[in-house]
Formats: sequence, C-alpha cells, structure tokens
Amino acid sequence: MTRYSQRHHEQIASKASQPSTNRNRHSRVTFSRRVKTYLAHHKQSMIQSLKQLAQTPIASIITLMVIGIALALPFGLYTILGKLHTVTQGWDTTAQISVFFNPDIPVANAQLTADKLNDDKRVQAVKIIPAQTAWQDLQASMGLVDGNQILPNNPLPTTLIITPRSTLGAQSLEALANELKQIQGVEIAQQDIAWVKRLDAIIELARRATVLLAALLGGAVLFIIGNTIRMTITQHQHEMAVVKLMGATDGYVRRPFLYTGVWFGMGGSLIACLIIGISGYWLAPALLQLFTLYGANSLEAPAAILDMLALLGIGMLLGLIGAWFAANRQLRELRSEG
Amino acid sequence: MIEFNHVSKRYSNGHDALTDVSFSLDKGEMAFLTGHSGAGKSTLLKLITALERSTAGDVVIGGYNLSKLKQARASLIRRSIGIIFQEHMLLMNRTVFDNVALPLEIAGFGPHEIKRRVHASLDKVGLLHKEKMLPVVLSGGEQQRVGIARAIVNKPALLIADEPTGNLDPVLSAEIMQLFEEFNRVGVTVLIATHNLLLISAMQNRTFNLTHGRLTIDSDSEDIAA
Repeated sequence: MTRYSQRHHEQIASKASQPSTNRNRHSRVTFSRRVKTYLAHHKQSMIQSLKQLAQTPIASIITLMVIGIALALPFGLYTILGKLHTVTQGWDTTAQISVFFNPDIPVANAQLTADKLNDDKRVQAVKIIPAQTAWQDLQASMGLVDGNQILPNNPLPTTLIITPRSTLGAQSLEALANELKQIQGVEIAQQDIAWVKRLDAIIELARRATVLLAALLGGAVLFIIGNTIRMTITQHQHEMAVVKLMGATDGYVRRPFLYTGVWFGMGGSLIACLIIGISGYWLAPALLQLFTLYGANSLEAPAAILDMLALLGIGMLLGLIGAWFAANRQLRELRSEG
Repeated sequence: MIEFNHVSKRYSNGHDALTDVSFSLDKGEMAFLTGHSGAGKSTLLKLITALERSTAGDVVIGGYNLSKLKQARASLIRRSIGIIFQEHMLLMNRTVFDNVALPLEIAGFGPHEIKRRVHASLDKVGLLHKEKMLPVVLSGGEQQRVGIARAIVNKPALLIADEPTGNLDPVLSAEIMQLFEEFNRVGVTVLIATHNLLLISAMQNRTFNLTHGRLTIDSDSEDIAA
C-alpha cells in the first residue's frame, strides 16, 4: 500500500469511527463551496448540453427549424397586427363625426352645442367651423375673389367636427351620432360607421385567430421540445441512472436537459426572428400599399427589438417547460424502476 | 449501521420481494448476503440505498429511518453509502478519472479536493496509471476496481456490493474480496450480496441467507434457521 492510499485509508477509518455519518459528511463541504459547485454545475450543464446538440448537427437543425417555423407564424401575424395598429391611429381622423346645422341657426347656438359636447366624456375634441369661415375657405380654395358674385348667399352651414375618443367602439359611435341628430337645429350628423365597423371586426377576428394560432403552435413547440428531450434522455438513460445512484438530486440530473430545452427554445426563436425579419422585408411594400389605402402614412413598428426579445423569452420559456416535463417523466420512471 | 425491523416489500405488481425481515449489522461489521436468484437480495440492497421504500417495517441506516425520508433527503443519504454493482455501472464515455470523480462532483467538492481523493482512491485499487483511459479498454476485473474506487472515493462508512465478483474468475474475485476486507479492517461496514458460496466459506464472515423473501439464516443467531 502506498503512502497515499495509507492516508486515505486512515481517513476512511477515522470517518467510520464518527458517531453520525451523514451530518458530519455533509458539513465537510462548506456552504460557499456548495454554491460554487452549484454554479459550476450550471455552467457545465450549459456547455455539455450545447456540445450534445453539436454532436448531432442535422437532427438539431431540423428540430430548430420546426420550432422556428412554429414560433414564426403567430409572431409574424402579431407583428402585422401591430402594424395594423398604425391604421387604427389614423382611425382617429377617419371616425370624426360631422354635424351640419340648419343655415338659420346662429353661430352662437352652434357654439353652445359645441361647449356642451366638449364636456361629454365620449368626445375628445370639438372643432367649430362657422358658416362664414367655411365659405371664405371654400372661396379661397376655389380661387374665387368674391364668391358672392356667383352665389348671393353663403350656401354652407355652420359645422361641428367632433373627434370621439379612440376607446369608443363602433356601437357607441353610432349611438353618439344618433344623439347628435336629435339636437335642435342639427340637420345632418354624419360619419362612416360601416367602415369603422368593418375594420373593428377584421381586427378582432385577426386578433382572435392570432391568439388561437399562438396557443396551438405554442403547444406544438412544447411537444416538439418535450419529445426531442425525451429522445435525448433515452440515449442517456444509463447515465441518468448511474448519476442518481451516486446520490445526485433530481435537480442535478434534470439540469443538463433543461438547458437543452432552453437552447432549443432560444435557437428556434432566433430562427423565427430571422423568418419574420425576411418575410417582413418581403411583405413591407404590399402592406404599405394596403395601409396607405386605409389612411395610414407609415409602416413604422416602434417596438421591433422589444418584440424580438419577447419572442426569445417566450421561446426559451417554452423550451424550459417542455424539457421539464420530459425530464420529470423520466425521473419518475427511474424511481419506479429503482 | 444497518437495522431492519420487520421489513416487508411488496411491489406494485403484487410480488412480495421481502417478508418480515429483521436483522442488524453493527458499525465495522462485514457480512454476506446470499440466496437464490429472486430471493430478494437486490430488493434488500435497494432498501438500504433508499432506491426503494419498504411497504412495512423500518429500515434504519446510520441513524436515519429511510421509511420516513423524503426523496431529496434520500439522495443525500445515498452519498454516504458506497455502492458497487455487478455490471459496474460505469459511464463508458468518460475517463476512469471522471467516473471515480462523479460522486465527489455530485456532493459538491472543489476540483483540487476531487483530484486528491480520486488519485488516492485509484491508487488504492491499483489503477492510478490508467486514470486517463476510457473504461471500455479495461478488463472486467479492472472495470470492477474502477467501480470500487468510485464507491470508496467519498469515504463512505458503509459499503454495499451487489454480486461484485459475479463476472470475475476466482483469482480476480479473491483480489476484490481482499480489497473489501482491507476496507473493513479500517472500520468500514461492508455488506456483500453474492451467490459465490465458495468465497463465503473461505472468509468466515457473518452470513445472511434469504429464501423467497424471508431471512432463513443469520450465522450469528442460529435460531432464525427455518
């Protein structure tokens, strides 16, 4: 027996003579040491799981592509919906209600109505255009020096341009327009309700479809990652069993697989970002054309980076959850096998 | 060190692996566990290593009642027991050093301490010069010795071996047994499950015999004999 093993042996002997084995044993590893090794195992799991993915590049890439496409669909739609929002901002001007007064009604009366409407909670702004001003504007825009030469009397009524609050739905808008018609002296209260209703319905439908699609494909990503992890685990069943036999906690055994899940989620999200980016670039001119027709003037997506980060976060979370379920299932099986 | 009080184990499929088994093994003792295959040897070892739970009775290891232990705590108990398997249970894609280091890594030792202990352990089983090799290139006897080095690296007070010489020739078996005796001499409690009766008779240690899940012989207390 060498001196080395002699010492080791004596340590074993002294260990065995101690009264309580477990408590003393674990106190030999200090708390800070344990934190250090805990972090070290995280790092090791992170690297090890990455290496494993690299060992089967084709299979990994295929899985990543599937996850990427599954994530890209709902998020792409979400991005388009986000751009539709720029249209609904243009909606503010489109949804104005014009109230035309009877020409006999004096401007003062119209002003009174305007003041009342200004206090109405549903109304954001009221602009009054007195008949005289409107007439002067029209003459100016037509290049007439003196319109009275053609028409002896001002043919235009006093008008109120009412901007309803953007939170107002199509139904409330219609109700407001109907109320305005009842005001004494009002001849016409006019707005394009049908257009607003249509847009409302389309956006709502698209929103719901996107939520549904996101839920379905999110579930698909969970299953894809879960299944992939399950297959990886089958290859490492023996290792898991051995590590467990050596006294590893469930967390220790699970960790590398959780990282695999996170990598899949992250890689898939990055591919999804790429897909969305490329499709966005290709769709942009067509979208711009469509939106211009609806009165929007720009296609700016203000929070693109934030959206991508959110996608990354959601992808990683889905990966983590999928891996968690797969690893736990395997751990349960290990336990029942013994 | 090991105490079984009227322990029974019935598996979920209705099979009674152990029925009313009672015995105790003191600190520093070395004993054999024999019995025909299917007699419940493996189940008994699984109960000791907290891999299974008894359906009745108490299993007390080093003062801890395993029947009342939570799963997470059971992992910690397992770290204080050295376990040796017939089929070695080595990780074939890791070097001898990494295999032996595994229990220490799990227990959270630092790299310096791991290196020191793994070397001491490998030296003890005479394989220090093969630390960088993969287990596949080693012979069956050497693989078993790696398994033993791994079992003792955490300096356990209790060593459990399940058919450690099952696949080895008589000379190698005797060598392995000699190792166990050495550990026992310095105070480690050792329990070896084996059906190698020749070996047992040569060593004159306390022997338990299981028949159909019942303890039929405890060489220390002859009265159990059925």
